[in-house]
Amino acid sequence: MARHEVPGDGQPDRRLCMAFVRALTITGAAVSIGGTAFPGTSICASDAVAARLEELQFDPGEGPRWEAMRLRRPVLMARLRHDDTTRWPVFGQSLLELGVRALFVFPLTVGALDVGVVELYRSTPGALDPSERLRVVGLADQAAWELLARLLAVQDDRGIGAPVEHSFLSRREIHQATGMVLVQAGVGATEALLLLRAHAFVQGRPLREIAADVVARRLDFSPPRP
Amino acid sequence: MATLSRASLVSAAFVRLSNTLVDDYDVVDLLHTLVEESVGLLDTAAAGLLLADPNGELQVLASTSEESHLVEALQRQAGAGPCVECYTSGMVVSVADLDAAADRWPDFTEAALAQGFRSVHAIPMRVRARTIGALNLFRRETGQLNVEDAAIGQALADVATISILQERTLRESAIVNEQLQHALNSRILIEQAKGVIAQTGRVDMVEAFTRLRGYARAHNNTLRQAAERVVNRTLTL
Repeated sequence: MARHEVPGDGQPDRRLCMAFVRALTITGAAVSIGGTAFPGTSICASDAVAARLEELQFDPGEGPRWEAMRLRRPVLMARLRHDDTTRWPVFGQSLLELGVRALFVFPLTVGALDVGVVELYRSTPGALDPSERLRVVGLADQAAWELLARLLAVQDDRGIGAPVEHSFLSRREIHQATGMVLVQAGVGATEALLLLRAHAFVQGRPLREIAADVVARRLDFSPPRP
Repeated sequence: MATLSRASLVSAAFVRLSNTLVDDYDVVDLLHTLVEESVGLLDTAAAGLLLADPNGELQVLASTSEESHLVEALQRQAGAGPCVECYTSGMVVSVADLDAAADRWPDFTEAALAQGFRSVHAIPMRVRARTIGALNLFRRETGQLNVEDAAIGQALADVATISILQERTLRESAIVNEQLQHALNSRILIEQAKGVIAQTGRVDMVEAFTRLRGYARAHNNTLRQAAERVVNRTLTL
C-alpha cells in the first residue's frame, strides 16, 4: 500500500503529545499509529527520550507497544528494574539506559478499531493514580478518534492533507458495514474498515456510499467459494 | 385492575434512570433509558437524543427507534433544526406545527414530516451555563406539548445531564469533552456490533440492536460490554 504517513507540519502532531504531558504528572509522551493492519509510523514525541522509546520498538518489533496493541489493554510498568525487563531483552536494557523508570502504554482504539498506541514515561518510579488513569483513557479516546479521521482522509482521492471531515466518522452505516465486513472477510475491525476504504478508493466513490451498499447487502466481501 | 397513578409512574421512571448509574455505567445506556422513559411517560411518539462531540457537532447518541429514518431525521437536524437551536441557546425550542416551519428548516421538516411527525419539542441538556446536547420529543399531532409533560421531560433530561456532568467535571471543560468522546466511541462499538449480528444472524439492524440490548439487560452488562464481546467474536447473538 502506498501512503500511510499522516501529513502535518509538526504543530498539530506535537499538540497531540503535549495534551498528555500537560494533563498528567509524566516526563514525556509519544504517539504512534499502526502495527497490525498497516505499517507503524511515529506521530509525535514530546522529547528525545520519548522519540527513542518508539524507535527502539519499531526496529526489533518487540516491546510493550506491541503487547498493548495485541492485547488491546494498557501495559503498566510503574517501577522498572533490571529483572522486569527480561520480557524484552533488547528493549528492556535500553529503557534503563535512557533513564526511564516508569512506562505506561495505552492502546488507541475507536470501537473495535486498533489505531495505535500512546506511550507515557517517567524518569522517576511511581504508578499513575486512578484519576490520572481515567484522564489517560479520555485523552486516548480523543487521540484515537483524531488519528483515525486523519488516517482515512490521507488516502482520500482529494489528496494528502485534505480537510478532515469528522462528521463522516459519525455516520452509523460506516460502522455497521465495518461489523458486517469483518464477518464476511474473516478479519478484524481495523482491517475491515481499511478494506471498505480501499474499495471506495479504487472505485472512486465516497466511503459512505460503499458502506450503504454493504448494509443494503448489495456488496459483499466474502471470499469466493471454490 | 388498579391503574398506577401518574406520580408513581414518574417516580418509577426516575428510579430506572438512576439504576443505570452503577459504578461502571456507560453514558450510552443512560441515554437509551432516558429516551425510552420519555416515550413511555410523555405524550410523545418518538424521542432522540443528540450530544455535542468535542468539535461541537451534534451526534445522535440514542433514539427510541434504531430505524435509520428516525436517526436520519435527527442527524439532518444536526445541520439545522430545533435541536441545534436548543443546543446553542440552552433554551427549550418548541415547534407546534412542523408544516409551518418548512421555510426555516427545509431539510429537517421534510424528513420529520415524511415519517408522520407534526410537532417537536427540544429540551436542552444543561447544567448552569453548560449545554451538552438536547432531547427531542416528536409527536404525531400538531400543538404544544402540555405543561406537565414538558416539566417531566425537563426533569428527566436534568437528571441525565447531572449524571454525566458531575460537579467535579463541570469545572474542567476538557474532562467533559473526554466523557462525550467516550460516549461517542461506545456508540461506534454498538454500531459495529450491530453489523456483526446483522451478518451472522441474517437480520436487519433494528433486530440486531434488539438482540444486543436484550443480551445486555439479561446479563447485567452495559451495551458497550456486550458490543465488545460481539465484535471480538466471543459472543454470538
